[in-house]
Parts: sequence; C-alpha cells; structure tokens
Amino acid sequence: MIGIISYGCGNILSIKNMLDYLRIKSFIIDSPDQIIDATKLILPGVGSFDNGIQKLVDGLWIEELEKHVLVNKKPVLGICLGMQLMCKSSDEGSLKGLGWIDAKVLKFESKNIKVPHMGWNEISVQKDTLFKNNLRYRFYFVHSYFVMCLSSQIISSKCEYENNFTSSFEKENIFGVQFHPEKSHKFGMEVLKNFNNV
Amino acid sequence: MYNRRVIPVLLLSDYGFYKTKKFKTKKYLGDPINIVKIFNEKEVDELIILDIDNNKIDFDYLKDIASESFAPMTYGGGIKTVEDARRILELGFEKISVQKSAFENIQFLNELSSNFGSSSVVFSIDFYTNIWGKLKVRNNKSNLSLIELIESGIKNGAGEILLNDISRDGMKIGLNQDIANEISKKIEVPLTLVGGANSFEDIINGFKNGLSGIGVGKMFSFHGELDGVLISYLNEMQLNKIKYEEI
Repeated sequence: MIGIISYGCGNILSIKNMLDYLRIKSFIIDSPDQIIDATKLILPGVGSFDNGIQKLVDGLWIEELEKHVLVNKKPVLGICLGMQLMCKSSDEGSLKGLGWIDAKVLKFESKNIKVPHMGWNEISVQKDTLFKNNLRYRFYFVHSYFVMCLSSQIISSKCEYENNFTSSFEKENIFGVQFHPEKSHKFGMEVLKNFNNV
Repeated sequence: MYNRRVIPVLLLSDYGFYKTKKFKTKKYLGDPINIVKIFNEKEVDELIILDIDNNKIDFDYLKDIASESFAPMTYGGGIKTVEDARRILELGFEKISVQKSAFENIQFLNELSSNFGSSSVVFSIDFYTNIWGKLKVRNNKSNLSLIELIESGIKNGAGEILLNDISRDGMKIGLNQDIANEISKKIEVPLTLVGGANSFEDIINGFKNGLSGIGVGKMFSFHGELDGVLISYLNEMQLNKIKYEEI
C-alpha cells in the first residue's frame, strides 16, 4: 500500500488518480503517525524549496520519515520538489535539505533557454529500475531548479536542457524523479508501476 | 527533442463540450468527461478547457474532468480571484488561463504569478480581423494594440500567451501564419495560437513560424462533409516528426 504524503505542498490528487487507474492501492497520509501503515511512500511537491522544508519541519514529518526511510528502508519516491527536498541544499533557499542524497539543487542559468523548463522532454536512461521495456521515454517537466548529483553512481536518468541534468536518481530504497509521472501518460504509468514493484 | 505542443481546445458550456464557429454558432460535441477520456487515451500533449458561459465555476465538476487526464491541462473561464485559481490548481490543472479579469485589471496577472509562478499563468486574448483587414482585440477595454496588450501581460507576469483567432474559429481555413510569425518574434514566453488549423502541414508551418503550441478544435473533433463528430489526434508518425525532427 503506497502512502502519498500530504504535507501541504502540491497537488496529490493527480498522483492518486493515476495510481487508482493502475489499480495500485494507495492512501493519503495526513499526519506522520500514519506513515507506519504504508509499505511504500511518495513525497510529492510543488513550490519553493524553503517552503517545502519548512512545511516538513512544521508538520513534524522529518523524524518519522527518516525512521521509515533511513532505518526501516521503506521505498520512497520523491516527485519534482519532493525529489529536490531529498538533496543537501538548494540555490533556491537557505534552509538545509533532508540530505538523504549527496546532491545539490542548482538554478538553470543561461540566456539561451527559457526558464522554467516546462513541457515534454526525453530522458536517457542509465538504470532501468523505474524505466523498463525500452520505451522512448518522454515526460512532462515544470521546474526552474535542477538536481546535480555529486556521485554519478546514483543517477538513473539524465535529461538535456542546454546542459545535462539529473532527471532521476536512485540510491537503495530512495528514488527521485524531476518530472511529473502523473501527467505523462503511459510513460508515467510505467514509472509508478515499476516503483510499486520495487 | 523539441518542445512543440499540439493542444486540443475544448469549449465548455452547460456541462457539454461544444465547437463554435466564429465564436457564434455552436455545435454539440459530447460529454466532457467522455471526451477528455478519449483524448487522454490518444496521449495528447496537453488539453485546454475554456468555459464560454462565464457562469460561476463548478469546482466539483471540474474535478471530475481533471481526474480523467494524465496529461497537463489548462483551465480558463470565470476566474476572478487568486482563491479561484488556487482551487483550480488543486484539482489537478497545471495552468490557469485568464482574459476578462486581466483586461479589467492587468495587475491580476501579477497576483497570480507571484502566488503560483508565471509558468502556471496563461494570458488569453481573442482577436479578429475586421472588414478593413485591421486586427482588433475582442472586449478590449484599453487603447492598447494586440502586441501592446500581449507585452503588458508578459510584463505583469503571464508565462504563456494564448491567442484565439475568432475570424478563423471553426472555419478550417488554416492558421494565421503571419500573426504567428510576427508575434512569436517579438516575445520571449511561449505562444499558443488557436483558430483555423486545418492540416498537418498547417501545423508544421505554425511551428516553423515560431509557435510553441498550436490549439486545435474542429480538425480533431469533426470529420467528413457532414461534419460528424469524430475525436482524433495526430498519429504516431506525425507526433514523432513534431517531437524529434528538425522542421
């Protein structure tokens, strides 16, 4: 049973809709004490980095999350801002990230590209845990900051927008995707299905 | 990969989708939930839903529509406050499109973009060519020209411009390629043009002229001489050409 963490950042309905469509059992987690009922977790998120971290702090989420993710090793999937929050820090804010992943979040800075990076883009798969069946994967992205992994070992896919950035990472039970699987048709379904089978 | 989008534009009126002609006569297309479902199965790039009645927003109904789509969606129609916009976004729409409220107070775009980011805010403008061939903006309350209005919207936080060509609406006479070319050269944000698209070639030319999105109505909803309702979308070969090939 996948628990979708509802900590006040972003639209969780679309994720629930896609899981329902795939007949994957899920529920919305409104308070940290419900984390225990989930076998897997999704950490969604839209908005700014500091706002996201602050909401996790204020809702007393962090200790409970870390117990289940870092100690009990429950699989967790961060989506968009949720992925970025798992990193050490972000150019977008001054608060410290969760630091589960050895990565920084940087701003797209180039005169040649439009920011935010918004729309469909393809990825090049490095590890296929979430990207099976050799599809030509494309996803819907909306973001102004991107993840830069300090160790290439954990990069599971890359995407090109002026330069390469980390479009997804995986480290043991911790997964993160920059794009929105819930808005990416069959490509997104594949990711959620595979996460459910991890 | 190229970020070019082909977007079915669906007009909502009294719980049905309709196709209009020059924004006047309207023809019933079908049940919205069903149609969104069909477009979703065809894996559309994006969907735009515009309520043309300007009644109060029925959020519960929009929630039902949104739950059928696994593609990004834009909603426009009757958004008057930041709170309206917030509720729409929470239902699972990615973008909100405003016209009337922005015409009345261009600062409204600013309020929206500072709350939700400019990437969620679409400024929509209806225009037409009058009998002397001059471009006119519908419901224009200012004395600004089309391009001036667009520029002022962008300055005030619009992240995307949706231009609706009323003279060509439902006419299948081809997009106004001159406008596509002229406006997209002048602005930095993505430009979506809707009105008149009639063939794959027309769509390709629109992208050549710098459009980021092309809105399609009749071409994907009616078929044959008798204009029978038939929901269609680009085929895989066409999609691949748009997404992956230099054109």
